[in-house]
Amino acid sequence: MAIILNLYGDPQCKTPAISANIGVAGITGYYADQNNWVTLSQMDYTCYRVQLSNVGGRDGVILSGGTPIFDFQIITDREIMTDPAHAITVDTVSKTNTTNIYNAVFAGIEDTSTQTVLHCNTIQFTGYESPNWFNAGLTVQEYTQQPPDATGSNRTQWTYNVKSSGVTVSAQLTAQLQQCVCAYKLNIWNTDFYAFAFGVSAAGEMQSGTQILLIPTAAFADREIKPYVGPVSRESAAGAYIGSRDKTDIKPRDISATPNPYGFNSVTGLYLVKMTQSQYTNLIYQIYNGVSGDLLNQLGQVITDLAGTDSKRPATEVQAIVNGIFCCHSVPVIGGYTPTGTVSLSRICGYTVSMFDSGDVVSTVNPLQQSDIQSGIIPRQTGCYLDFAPFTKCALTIPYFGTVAIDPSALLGNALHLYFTIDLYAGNAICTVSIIDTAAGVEWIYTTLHAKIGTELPIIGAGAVGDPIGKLANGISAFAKQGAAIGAIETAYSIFDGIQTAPYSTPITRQTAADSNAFLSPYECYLTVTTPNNFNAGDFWTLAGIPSHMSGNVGSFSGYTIFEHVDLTGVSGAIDAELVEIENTLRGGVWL
Amino acid sequence: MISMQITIGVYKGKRAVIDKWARTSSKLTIAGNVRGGIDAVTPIVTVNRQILPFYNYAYIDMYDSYYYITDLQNNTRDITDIVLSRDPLQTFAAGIKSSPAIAARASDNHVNADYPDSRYQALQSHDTSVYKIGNVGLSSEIILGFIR
Repeated sequence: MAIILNLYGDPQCKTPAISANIGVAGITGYYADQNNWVTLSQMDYTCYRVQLSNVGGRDGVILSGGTPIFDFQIITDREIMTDPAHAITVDTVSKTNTTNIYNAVFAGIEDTSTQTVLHCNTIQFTGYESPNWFNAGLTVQEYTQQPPDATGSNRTQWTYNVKSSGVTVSAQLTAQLQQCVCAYKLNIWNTDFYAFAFGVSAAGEMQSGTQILLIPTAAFADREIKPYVGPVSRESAAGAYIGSRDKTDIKPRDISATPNPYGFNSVTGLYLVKMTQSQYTNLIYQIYNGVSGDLLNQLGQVITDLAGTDSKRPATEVQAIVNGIFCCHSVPVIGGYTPTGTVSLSRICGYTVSMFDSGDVVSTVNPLQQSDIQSGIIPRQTGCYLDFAPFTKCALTIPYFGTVAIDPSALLGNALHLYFTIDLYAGNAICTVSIIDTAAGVEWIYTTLHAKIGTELPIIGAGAVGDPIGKLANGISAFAKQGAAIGAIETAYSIFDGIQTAPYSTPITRQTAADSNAFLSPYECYLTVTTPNNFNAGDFWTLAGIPSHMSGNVGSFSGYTIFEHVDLTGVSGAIDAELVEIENTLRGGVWL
Repeated sequence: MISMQITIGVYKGKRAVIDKWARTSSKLTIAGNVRGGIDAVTPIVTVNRQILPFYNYAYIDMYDSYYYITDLQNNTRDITDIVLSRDPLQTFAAGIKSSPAIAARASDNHVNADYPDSRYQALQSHDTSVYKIGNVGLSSEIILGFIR
């Protein structure tokens, strides 16, 4: 049986490349995917052959550029460094000859609170026979470790025997690199717990779909290899003997988070460009037709390629180009949107694709766009309690974000300030609604809203990889479908346009669609304030008064006044009945 | 019998008004005698003349009090008994006006219209005001992101 360890990143090469070219399905570091760890336990003197193969549609493995490195790690939950008697060491050997070139480097031990990682850069690939193909003449290193004696000592040193193997390809381009093979031999104590991680990295290009096969030798064919999927516990009780531990209780532990492949403000190798609609159309055409030229010639080239020995190449290249495009969407322009610079595009994803006419330049844009708009002061409507909930309702409609209710007690008498932050990578936007209290001289955030404002434009049609003609047709038809959808959008907008003017007494300025990429949304931000009709009862105030709850001497009031509390201790000469009459009259309402 | 002066007049207004005397017209001061003992709250004053029935308010200087004329008895050409009841609002106006109080409702500037008012009825129909804030997007741009 074999354990297949896929490289970090899926075979579709969607992981952002570390190197300059797209299509690199490798890593320059180590596995961050714990599901690809293999835990070997309960074995002694295990010998494994590690083999590279490829399932990406080609035979063999392609590694190019720089110095590809085949990494090997031992990850253990044991402390290695604390006790020199039990430390693991690796001897460094460097030896070259004309056919076998290898180098073993002990890169060091990384000891964290939850795990210890022994890093070994063990093999360097050398030798190229062409810029894109090379021979993986690998060395084989064999690590052995002395088994413990009865007291648990003698486990002090790793030794290894260097063996060489590998497959060389004598002919260029006609023969495929078959396999890269190396082998490791490890002695594992019966009760030890080790996890292995294997990785392959290339500074240049790596064949997508490259896999690592971990194949036990025949001596252990009957042993069960238990792949471990899950968290690994680390226990290090003080004074415990390293290595001989009972592994019956496994506790979860924190796994280091996969680092963010790119920071928002420090993206390397990623570009955002602004395109006109004609440039976008040209892009679709060029992707599926290769170098610019008339359609008939390009179709002829495709057919010729299909008849050739490598029938999958054009489709793979198309797929690689398409996979290198991680977003293509149409976004509405927010106030303040300006490109940051220009770049002439002649190469994308490692392939020469003339996307635009000669001399065309397109603008790069900041991935983060920000702008804001502000209203004037929204006045009180009635001047009384009817200006507040539940009588008055305020609704703020923001294009693309929808409608949000605003508490009138927070808004009326103040102004609105909307801040827009847009992520052009994904077409997401956040709107922060804040209220400006000019009287208090403060501005405070009321709410935040999220919207998807980018409309994805199809790049990939329904055709599968390996069907370039079908993909061409589908790509164009997909774009044509978008054109049909645009008509529907305009129609829907016109419906909304009509609804918008029907119920309101104050007409709203209508914004027509600026171009065929108009969205189903008005472009204007507006606030509606709905208040009960304030029927004027004429002399209601003078005849019935309005709520007061204010204090003062009775004589400080004027007009019709109803008192709820009065202190008549200062009234002298009146009998009790008269005091009662006075208070009752004041409570019932008097004219002053 | 106690001799005194009584001023009668005509008051046209609400009883819940404190300052009535200033609003009293047709004032007439006449001599009279208080019947019985000292009674500043409900005195009966006898005058030697007929009193027309539209007189309804009076002031007795001896008591420094203001009164409603509640009845005119034996109202003949030569003698009339004026039955009086003291008006405490006007009589003790100075003390009342200087008394501290909290108003429930008022019609001057001692008001806050933002208090809910169950007496004020608003219509069920609504008015809507629309305020345009600004343009959020005027046109669209196509953004392409790629790995170079």
